[in-house]
Amino acid sequence: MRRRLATLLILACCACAPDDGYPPLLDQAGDPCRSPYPSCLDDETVRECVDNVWVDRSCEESCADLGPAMLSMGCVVDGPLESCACVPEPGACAPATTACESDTELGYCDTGQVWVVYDCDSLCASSLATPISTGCMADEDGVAACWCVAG
Amino acid sequence: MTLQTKPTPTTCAAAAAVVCILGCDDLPKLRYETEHLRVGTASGGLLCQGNLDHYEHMVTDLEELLATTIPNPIDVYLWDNSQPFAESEWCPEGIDLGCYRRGAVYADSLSIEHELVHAVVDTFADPKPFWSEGAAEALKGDRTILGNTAPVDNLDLDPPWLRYSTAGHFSRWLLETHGLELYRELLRARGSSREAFEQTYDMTIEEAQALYFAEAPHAYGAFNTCDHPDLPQTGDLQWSETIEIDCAAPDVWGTSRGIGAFRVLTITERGFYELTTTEQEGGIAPCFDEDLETPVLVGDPAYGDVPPASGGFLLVFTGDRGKSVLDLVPGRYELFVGHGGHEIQTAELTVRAAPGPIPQTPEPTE
Repeated sequence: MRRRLATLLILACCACAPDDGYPPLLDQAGDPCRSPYPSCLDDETVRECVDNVWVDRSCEESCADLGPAMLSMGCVVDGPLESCACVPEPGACAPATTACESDTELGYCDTGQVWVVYDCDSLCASSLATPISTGCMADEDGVAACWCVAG
Repeated sequence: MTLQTKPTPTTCAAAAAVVCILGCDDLPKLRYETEHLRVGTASGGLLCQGNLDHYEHMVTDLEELLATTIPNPIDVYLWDNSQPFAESEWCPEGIDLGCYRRGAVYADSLSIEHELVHAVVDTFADPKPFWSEGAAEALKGDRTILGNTAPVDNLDLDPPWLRYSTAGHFSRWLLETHGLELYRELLRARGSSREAFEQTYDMTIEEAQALYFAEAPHAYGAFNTCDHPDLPQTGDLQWSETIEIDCAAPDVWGTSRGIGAFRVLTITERGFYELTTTEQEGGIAPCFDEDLETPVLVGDPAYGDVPPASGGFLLVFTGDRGKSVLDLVPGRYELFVGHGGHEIQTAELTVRAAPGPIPQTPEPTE
């Protein structure tokens, strides 16, 4: 109960506009940071927190951090969120995407953008509570996974 | 800071008939008593034994931590969240969340821990606002988070311009890196904020700030969240308890709107777990035990469905507002079960490994 109210309070305070007399914000290139939220400087340039310092760099550089074969589509503002839009190069996969290779095999794109095929029996066996595979299927959102049940 | 002219509690109580015609709220009657506290709640707000034990333990722990003694019980006037605290007008203008003035705490349930720290510090020191508010934030029990302003830029500011998050995280960093003894000396030190720091620590405040920005984590773990009983383990990957939700029972918390109990669930194996309760409402939140080097975002697959994200994260797992099968990673979680109203009820709370089917994908690799 208390934590939920605290969360609401924090959200409410985020909307407070600073007035004169408040200390300057640390939001310029070279300032220290820990923030996960980038900001677009223009269509191709982003300000990101890299190694605890705000850094201005191109979206090409930013997208390259996600995988060896990622292309930049520029810096995109989506409501309160701003970031580089990155897509896989033609023929490459997007990290963490999945697809069923067969009824019993799951394909997975790892962070090196290499497509790896997993056997569902092996994946389910790693779960203590649900070690038995019922096969590979996509859920209602179209995301493929091995489905596992209790023994 | 100029304090708003306001009748003292004694004056207001003595002249209640006159003052309240002019718009002043009466102070709540002090109706609860512990060894170190006398507590009154506005609008007949309810406190249960769990609230009182928590506040009393907090003050006792602070006495020990700060090597001080509270000579007389602290009077605490507590407003319920349902009544906007700012309307009570017992704190200086612009201080809407709570205050400690003339030996008494005026607070709501969100600010009481912060104000209790002020009350304990007041028994042995009178630090400048940067160190005073820093101590209140660092020692109130919650985690502290790196602010987006520089400590040096806040040194000479008063509330409401002073950024409490920056003062609190910097104070916690001093505690973590240079220990309690020096920190107590800092609080006692005289002079400006800068003078107090530089006569206590063997460096300038600018040198300290550079170290702080280089090494302080995004968040320090909390001191006392999840200070609740464990949910008993009743089998392999199964935990269960029948809990009597009775305001008079230890570990039961209350507000004017409802009462409930907290339990701590410790998960050692990542997996999907099914959470069920017979109570009207159940919730789960992470215990902020660990420091976080960088922020955690809701949706980060490494942290499952209940991540230690900034601002806290509570997931309701009963009724039609939430799901009852959650992906939980190893760690401690705070479970809450409760209901509206104050009648005594018996609640079943059970957590078990979900029987499936559940989706399984490979762990992300670095």
